[in-house]
Amino acid sequence: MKRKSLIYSLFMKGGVILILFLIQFILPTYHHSSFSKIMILASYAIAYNFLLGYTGLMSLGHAMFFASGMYTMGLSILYLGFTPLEGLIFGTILTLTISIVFGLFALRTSGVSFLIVTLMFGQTLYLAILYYNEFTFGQDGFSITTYLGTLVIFGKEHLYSNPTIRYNFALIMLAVYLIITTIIILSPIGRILIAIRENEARTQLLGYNVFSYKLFALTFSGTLAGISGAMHALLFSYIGTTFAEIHHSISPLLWTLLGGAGTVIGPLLGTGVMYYLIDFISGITSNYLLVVGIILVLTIIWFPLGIMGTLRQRWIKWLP
Amino acid sequence: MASVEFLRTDRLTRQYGGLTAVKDVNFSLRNDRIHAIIGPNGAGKTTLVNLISGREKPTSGSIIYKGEDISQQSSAKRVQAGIVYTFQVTSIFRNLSCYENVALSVQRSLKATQRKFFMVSESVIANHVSKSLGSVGLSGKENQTAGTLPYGHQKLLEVAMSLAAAPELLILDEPTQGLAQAEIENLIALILEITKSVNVLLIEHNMAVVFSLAEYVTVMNSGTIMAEGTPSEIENNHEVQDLYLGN
Amino acid sequence: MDTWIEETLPMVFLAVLDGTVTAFVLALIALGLSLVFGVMRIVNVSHGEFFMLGAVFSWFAYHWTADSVWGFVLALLIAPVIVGFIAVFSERFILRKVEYNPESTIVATIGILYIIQQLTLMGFGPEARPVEAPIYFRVSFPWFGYSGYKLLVAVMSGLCLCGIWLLLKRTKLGLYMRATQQDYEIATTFGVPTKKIYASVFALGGGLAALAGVLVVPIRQADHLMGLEPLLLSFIVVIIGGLGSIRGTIIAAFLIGISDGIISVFYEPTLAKMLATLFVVMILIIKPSGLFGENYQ
Repeated sequence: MKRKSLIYSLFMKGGVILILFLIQFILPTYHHSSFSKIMILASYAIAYNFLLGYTGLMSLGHAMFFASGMYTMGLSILYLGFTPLEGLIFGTILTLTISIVFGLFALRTSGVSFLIVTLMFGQTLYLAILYYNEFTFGQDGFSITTYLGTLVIFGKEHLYSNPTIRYNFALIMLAVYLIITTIIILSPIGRILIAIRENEARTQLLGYNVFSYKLFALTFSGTLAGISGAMHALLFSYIGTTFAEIHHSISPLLWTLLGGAGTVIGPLLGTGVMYYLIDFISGITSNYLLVVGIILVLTIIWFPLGIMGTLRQRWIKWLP
Repeated sequence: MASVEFLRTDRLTRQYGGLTAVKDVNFSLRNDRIHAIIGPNGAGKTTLVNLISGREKPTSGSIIYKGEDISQQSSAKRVQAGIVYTFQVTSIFRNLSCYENVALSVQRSLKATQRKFFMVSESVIANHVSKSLGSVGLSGKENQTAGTLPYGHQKLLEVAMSLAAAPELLILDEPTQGLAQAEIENLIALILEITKSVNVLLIEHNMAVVFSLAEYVTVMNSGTIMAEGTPSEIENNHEVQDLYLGN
Repeated sequence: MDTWIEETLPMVFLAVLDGTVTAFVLALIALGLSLVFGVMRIVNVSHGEFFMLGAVFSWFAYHWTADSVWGFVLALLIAPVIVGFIAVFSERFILRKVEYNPESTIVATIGILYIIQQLTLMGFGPEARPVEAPIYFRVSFPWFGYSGYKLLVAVMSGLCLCGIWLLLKRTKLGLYMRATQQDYEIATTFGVPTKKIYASVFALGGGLAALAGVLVVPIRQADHLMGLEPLLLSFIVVIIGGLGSIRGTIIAAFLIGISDGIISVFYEPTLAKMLATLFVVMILIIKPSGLFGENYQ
């Protein structure tokens, strides 16, 4: 039974990835670039959903992880002359460390306190970036385009900002995230995480050390978010404080809830829908956050399971 | 099998503010008999087993399990050591299937016995799950969502989860509460079956159940042990009669 | 040594004075958050927006009356009432719909935060606008003069805090609130109108924040983004004080307010805020439930 749902689920994800791969050849330039952006942001949402949807821990500070990956990538290329690959590895190790340390503190609290603590930690990193503005360029941010160099594929040189490179790097990352999270969720570890979400006290009394599993989930989610940030820096070569603000912590929450928390495709769908919705509204008014607010309220009242969650409940039970 | 004392409490005390729920209790479990604890409401029975299973920490005193002081160990550690608690009010994962409920328990005990660091193969887990579900008579319910089971079956699922944890000491807290007579008889048969391989500590209100199962009875009142003995000794104990008849 | 004392002591004194004023206002805002959490077991993320609305209404009152005293009095009377109504409205049509589930409530109140903030931006504009203080006099100390209005703010906040204390201890509403806080089900069975209590508590919380906004706006300006900072500070206060503990909230507000004042004199405000957060971390390591908290989930 279990194996079957793993195969179904990987099959479906394979289909989504294949479609995303194929449509790049027919997408108009504008949407081509939107899709690249959506895929990067969706991988961030998938990282977020690993914690919220499968472990039941709601964080309001994930921008901290995203931004630390992003700034490590950007600053190490800028100041230390790292290559993008070195920057990525450095960024991954650093966010991994931050996640563990943060988790050791924050997971001492639970429920509402945990939320507030994540929010405040996120805000602290944001303030730190502003405070050390001589080093981080504060509110203005910076670009790493001129430091990036080129990428050699089959003997030909490409820029990282080349739309095809950008699209396919984003796609590869998305694919890896989808597959890794699916495998973990359907493994015995995933079963324990879901058990913690459903009934933490009982899981403890089945003999599991709940704290270490929560720490694992937080670390995994934080590190993935950090890698998303690093890749965002690489592919869009802009690093700025907007990615460390509270809004950027709330965004993955919104995408995940809208698409369906605890579903693997949900975050991707939620990100896409919101991206295009905001894109559309921005053409009419600059106050798109008003719409974000309204959608948040409406989703939580009438649609708490999100798009995919409702689909799963009504029609397709095996959806992971 | 030689009679061995494998768990004892030493002057175990638990206070809540000014209230002493368990007071200087010296209690002992041996491996060759079904042990029951009885007593009126508020006698401290549940607090005592909470202390033994690690859901609460003692104010003073100690718990010695197989020669080791476990009073400060976490509840998870104690489950790993074989002390498994079955809830008075069923505590199952209501939104998950019966399979998942039992698999969660199986997975942990297998990991411990097979000393595997990472994963136990799913087919081995499935095998054990169907065995555990079968032993409580829930075969074929694997895919049903646990919360949709009738109450009696939820209790059985709870027992299946406990059995799957490979217990050495199984604490059953009021297992018959809320069950119909026919279900109670089934459960008694099941407990007798379980005790062939596992030590059972039973907390029970229903005297018929106690006297048909227990080989040794501890009577608690206001946080202390009032009497101990075989069921017939207890039945003939005047103090206990007074306590229950309210004279 | 002597010059050090001459230079530093006045600064410390000023810091303590400023910190005390901040502490009184902070206590008012955090108390609203804490009451809502205590009675309803929910965290209101839009609490800072209620504060901002108070400040914005104060600006409108000032402009409409074109008089700093009457504008202030009008705002003081009207702003908490309007914000109270907004709070009741969102309680009735949003929070009640999600059945006060803690996490849904947080998401919903984030939504309310955006809605209030953006509507304000549309109606009030993006720029910060000053409001004149209703009174102007300087209290002179040996080293410097100090704004009399700031002292008035501290006094009025203090009076409000006493008022709330009386409300909780001496009135039927307070009794009902405490009963609801103890046990919602039992309170309902004993005829406490728990639904109305929830609405009143939420309105009271919002009203306190708005009142703080009215008091603060002559010291700083009004703008649509001013809600975030007091929200985060109140979170810090509420966590350190222990979620749901009124006494803890007040004590923590003074702890944070005064230490924030002192740190701000010697370091930049950004650094001061970072240090405050680290302080929270230290408290949480030592005592996860806060200084006076019970253990809430």
